[in-house]
Amino acid sequence: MRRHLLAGVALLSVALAVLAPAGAQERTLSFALDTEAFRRPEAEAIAEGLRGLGVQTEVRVWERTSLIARIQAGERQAYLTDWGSAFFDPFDLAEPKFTTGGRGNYSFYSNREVDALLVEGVTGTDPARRREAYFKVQEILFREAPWIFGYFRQDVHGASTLVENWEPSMDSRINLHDVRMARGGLVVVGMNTNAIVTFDPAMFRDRKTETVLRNIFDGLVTRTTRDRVVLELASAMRQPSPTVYEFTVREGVTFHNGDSLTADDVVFTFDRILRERGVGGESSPRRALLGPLQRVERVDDRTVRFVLERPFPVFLQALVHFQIVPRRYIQTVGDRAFAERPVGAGPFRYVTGRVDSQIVLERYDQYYGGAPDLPPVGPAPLRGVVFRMMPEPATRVAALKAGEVHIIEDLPVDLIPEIERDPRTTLKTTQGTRVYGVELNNRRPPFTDGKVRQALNYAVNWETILRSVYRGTATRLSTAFLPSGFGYNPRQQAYPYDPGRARTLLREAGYAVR
Amino acid sequence: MRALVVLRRVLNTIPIMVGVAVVVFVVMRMLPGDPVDIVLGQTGAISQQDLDRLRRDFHLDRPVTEQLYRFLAGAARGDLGTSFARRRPVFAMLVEALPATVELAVAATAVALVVAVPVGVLSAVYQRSWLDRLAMGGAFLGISMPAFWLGIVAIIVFAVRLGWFPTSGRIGFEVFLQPVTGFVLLDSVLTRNWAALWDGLRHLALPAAVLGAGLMAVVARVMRSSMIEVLREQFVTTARSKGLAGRVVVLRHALRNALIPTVTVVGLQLGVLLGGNMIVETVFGWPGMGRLVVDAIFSRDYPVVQGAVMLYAATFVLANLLVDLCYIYLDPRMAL
Repeated sequence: MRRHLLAGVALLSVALAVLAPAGAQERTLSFALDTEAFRRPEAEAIAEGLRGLGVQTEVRVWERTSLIARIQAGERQAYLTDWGSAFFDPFDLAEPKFTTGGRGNYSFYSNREVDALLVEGVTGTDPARRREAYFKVQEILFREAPWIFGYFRQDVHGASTLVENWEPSMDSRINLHDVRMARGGLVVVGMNTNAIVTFDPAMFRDRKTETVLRNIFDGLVTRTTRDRVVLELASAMRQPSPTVYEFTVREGVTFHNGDSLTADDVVFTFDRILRERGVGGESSPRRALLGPLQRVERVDDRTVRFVLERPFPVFLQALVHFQIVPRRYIQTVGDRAFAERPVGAGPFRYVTGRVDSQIVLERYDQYYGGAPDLPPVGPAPLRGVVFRMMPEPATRVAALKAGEVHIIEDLPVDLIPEIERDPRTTLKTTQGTRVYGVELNNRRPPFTDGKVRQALNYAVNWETILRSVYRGTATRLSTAFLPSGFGYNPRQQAYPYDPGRARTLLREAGYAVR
Repeated sequence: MRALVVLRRVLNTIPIMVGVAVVVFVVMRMLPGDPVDIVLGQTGAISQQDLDRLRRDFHLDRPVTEQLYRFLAGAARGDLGTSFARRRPVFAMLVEALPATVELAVAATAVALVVAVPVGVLSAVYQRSWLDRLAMGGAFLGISMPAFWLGIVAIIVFAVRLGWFPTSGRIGFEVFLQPVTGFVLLDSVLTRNWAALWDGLRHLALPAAVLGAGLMAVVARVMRSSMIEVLREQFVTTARSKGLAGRVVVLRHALRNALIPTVTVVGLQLGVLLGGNMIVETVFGWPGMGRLVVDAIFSRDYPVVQGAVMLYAATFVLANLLVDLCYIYLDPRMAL
């Protein structure tokens, strides 16, 4: 409902923007700082700090989509934004954010050397050289400071003390296969969403949907709770050349309707994503996640070959997010019916439920056991699982305390003490994979001047802001590379808070300071 | 005669619906934000080809006039298009979400009326007594309390502390209910599933009370003031002078007349409630229209917003029609 207010606030902001005197006085650095409502306290704190140096900053609150549209049009100056990375690699972070003309390059940053290094990083075949390229990118980004670099956060969840053997995953998956309950054998999860998008693994792009679906469906590979990729439905993997991957499909795996899982199902799964209008006349929004994948071939009943146009070093990380669907079932009932009554090869089978309320799954007794590298292997100890859509955090916390649900997603900072205090509940945290920062429009003055951008990096007292606003759940970043991602340089230090340095740089750039 | 009035009113709705359809179509496209960009989410390496193929799927590559024609022609046949985000027919999505919202709206209205009408009448009859002050004070509180806050407090007190009701949701997952109409209470009765009926009522109680609280306050105040007015009318004096008992005068003669403004208010409010209440639906995890539509607006899911707004328009027109029919029942002169 905060969003509800937001539209109004955004409208008001637009009105204010029209009325506000442009430019204010000469020689004073002044700009608008745009944010979504959920980061307003942080934006206000940044603005307050900058005012102390004589920089005039006004915070404006927007609805997310409207703000991004304005940013993309190049109309805004400085904005608090975030960007998530699912591949544990700059492939879906630095590449879109800093490549000239990149899809997420909201700062309009452009540096030919960085472009070339990112191409090397994203397509190179030698890990050492890729790492070197990424190190170099971090060095340049730090120096040129296209953003006020920010931080990443801990993902904080809550669980009942009855829940055993569950740890949250960094990729937001809630893997319930290994979980046990001290009582009852049934786990209810309170999800932070209005609705998941679909039951069809080819037709969504959000993490919440994936959280539910990966308990019904398995992929050729999966991930540990951190970033390591391990085999799941595949029993072996070979890479005969940098652009060819071959997987052996595990024997004895059945779908929930009893059909055996073979190479044909794997080929079918990827075909419907690669083909335009391949899913019942609609195109899969997941095509781009497969990068340069050109085709998938059946070699024999148990072997599939993936052929890529060019090397794609994060291919295995990408495959984690693709779940295998039953060819025969879908061809019989049709794509729409499949999306209403999904059949997978995962540890739990769909019983009943709707994407916008609750989804009931029960243990699949003939489950092949899951990834051998993620013990215990075998059918799930739990009898069943229920996912409930509970968009309001206070309600999720109340339901956890009342014993109605056993795991809740995404605790806001102010509700953490509620869970800490209660002896029947416990906090579960993991490192987040989303970068938060303040992007500056490098194409518009005053941020065309590198000295101004550097000055702002020295001028923000992040330690204090993060402590007061996020109470220790946020960690400073030196640039926009995550420590969990490939090619992160741990030796690169973040800009220190140094108002003296900031003043000097601003003066050098020709601005009055206080 | 009455049938003719109803028919005329129903036919009148057609131009209204077309107008609403065009307006919402245009307004959605004026909002900044690209639906394709939102569907594709945050990731790298998205080629123009990827963007184009979704744009073609959504027909956003066609001229706007063609899109409008496609939408209107489809709507006339009952086809509201396919959701960009969920890739399901919009009509099916609305049909799924509507019963939850209607059930909650009707329950909230019922709760509001059951409490507010007697309170309003008593306040009017015992004007300026402690009872009147207490009731109107309560009504003032009811109007002032934000539903969000009231909802959370209700959950903490009645669900967590006392454990009388579930915190949220529409029906427990342990209860199996064979869907017939999509209305939990109705389906429970139709399939004689009393466990489901009880569970459904327990889930409905808190959100209905919270949603009803605001309406309750309004109705009590309107009821009180119109009752005070009616009690001063000559026909009431006449009734009293005939020696009729006070209770009979109030309930038989005055109440019926005083209900007319109340019906207007309730009718309009019911129209609003049928649109779904985003706040109450979010707090109580209620899978209704409010959440569906707000989500669709933020993700620029044009077909869903268009379809929902047309449904709202139809509901409003229908609610107004019902109000008019109630008038005729309460005051037959209005049929003329």
